[in-house]
Amino acid sequence: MDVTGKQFAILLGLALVLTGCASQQETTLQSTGLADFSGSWELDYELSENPSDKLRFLYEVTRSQIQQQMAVQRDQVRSGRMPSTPVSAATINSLQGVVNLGRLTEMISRPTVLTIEQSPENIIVQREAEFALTCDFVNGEQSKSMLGREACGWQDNQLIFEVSLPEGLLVQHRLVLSGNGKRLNVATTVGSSVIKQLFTLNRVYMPFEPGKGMYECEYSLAKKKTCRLGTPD
Amino acid sequence: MNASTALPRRKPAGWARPIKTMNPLKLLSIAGLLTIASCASPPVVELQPESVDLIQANVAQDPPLNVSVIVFARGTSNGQKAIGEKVFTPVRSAEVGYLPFALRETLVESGHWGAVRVIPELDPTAEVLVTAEILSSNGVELRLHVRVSDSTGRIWVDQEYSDLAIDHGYDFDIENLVEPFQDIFNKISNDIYMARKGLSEMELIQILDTAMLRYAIALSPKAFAGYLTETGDGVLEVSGLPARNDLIYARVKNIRESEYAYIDTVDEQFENFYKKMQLAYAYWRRYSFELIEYSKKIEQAGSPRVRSQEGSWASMEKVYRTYRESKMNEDSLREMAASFDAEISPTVTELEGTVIRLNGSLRAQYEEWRRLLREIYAAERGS
Repeated sequence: MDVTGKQFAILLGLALVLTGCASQQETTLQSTGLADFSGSWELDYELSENPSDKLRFLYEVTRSQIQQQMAVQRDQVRSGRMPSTPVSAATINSLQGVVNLGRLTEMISRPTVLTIEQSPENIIVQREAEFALTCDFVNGEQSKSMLGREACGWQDNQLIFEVSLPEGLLVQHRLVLSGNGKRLNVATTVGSSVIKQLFTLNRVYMPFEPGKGMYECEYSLAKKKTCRLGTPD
Repeated sequence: MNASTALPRRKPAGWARPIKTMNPLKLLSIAGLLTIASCASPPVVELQPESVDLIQANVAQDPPLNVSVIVFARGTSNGQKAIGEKVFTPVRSAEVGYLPFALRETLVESGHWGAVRVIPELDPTAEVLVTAEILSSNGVELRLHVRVSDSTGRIWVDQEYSDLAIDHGYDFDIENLVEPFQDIFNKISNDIYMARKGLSEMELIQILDTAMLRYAIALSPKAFAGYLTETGDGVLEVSGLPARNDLIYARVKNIRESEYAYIDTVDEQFENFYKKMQLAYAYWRRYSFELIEYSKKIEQAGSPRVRSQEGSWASMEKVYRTYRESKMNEDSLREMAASFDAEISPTVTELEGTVIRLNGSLRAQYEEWRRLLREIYAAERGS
């Protein structure tokens, strides 16, 4: 089968999007994994996806799909097989929806520094200026409350945090360590039950030694959070 | 309402449906029509608050019984946790120290009791002992198993309580915070009071004597064990009392007073923690509530106008921001709970004319205190 450049772009786009779908498929999570994410990580801009580029790409893919659908419709109208209809609101909404998902994913994936504490019992992923992702491997990886359904656990050596919220909003973080342990990929996927696309953004982090010219913060009941500038060794 | 009515009562419907998933091959075949439609909005949560008034004393109760409230247990035992509920939550860690103090405040306010103290360890010599296990807690609903007994071993209360926080105002006043689960504490306090009310004066005096004798037996079993006998149903009875001029017994009473002074300093640490946690807890609860209300609104209003707002930037951002704020407050609570354990100040207290300094966790300090008392007493008896 011949595949044109445009078709290839569409398939590539779908494959990327499906990465997010595939991750959702296995909801059975395990309580043990082999990967050790402990340590301090900072964003590797070179390897990380740029949210704007990714959004533009997915937007183009979606627009192409819509144009194709419209072309088919036009052919059918010309041949008299169906009456002429204006561009539907759903079509416009699907494009807007992609943009919305992209904006939300960018907002969620903003932290540039991660500090991870991991033990056989639990993991705490502290994210700069964001709430921490926590998982207890002993007392159960799933939490269903009135707020929403939160789940976390392992799929092989990938650590997954997933939450479904009102609006059918789904947010998933998938942490994967590179073979040599020098890079940590955090794939954040956001979806909504009313938008037919998922948006996945891959952010890659590299290890760094804290305290060298960085702020060191600690929390105490008396002083709340206090930070000081670390001194080089 | 009848203060001794057994609970539980209201159980909100669990609402989160499992996240259904997609088949990638099928999705490829339909050329990118990806859907996560099954990430549906949760079903309606029916919240029915019930207000419980605190029964307060008009006149001081005589004899006044002291109440010891033990730090609450986390509720991992006997499989009673709610289905799918995650026990390891930042909030739970903070609540085990926070909730007993909230109960203490209510018991003090009721005016039925002598001293009411929060202590880190089980104290079998307490006049009235309150223990509780947190069965479930999510900031909106609280479910506790509470057990109250007196020094004779008689069980006053042994039952589950639950409460919803929504009737205590989410547009709270920072200067005047209201305990979100005040109803549950009122109900527990009322039940304890009703149990006490059912006892005769003789029985109340027996509780005081038994508590003192149990304390004396803990220090010197040989000298005092004969004064208490156990009945068939496991309740202790006072079979006699030491003479009024018994020097050893008087000494034990003095040591007991020192212990009360020590426990009061421990109690202050819980009070400080309670005050610091109150605000973060209130914020966390408010954001939790907003999410619940929002999902309820979406579920109920299946109208095209509301449905058309789904997927909009404003609605998605609002949901996520509310969730984010809720999680940020969870972080604060976790940090506070961790700091409470790590930063317990050394307790400096006076014991028999000597200033002593106790270090470590409250539990460790308490054990150390008990050991010192036994040593002092043994040294005196040996000399």
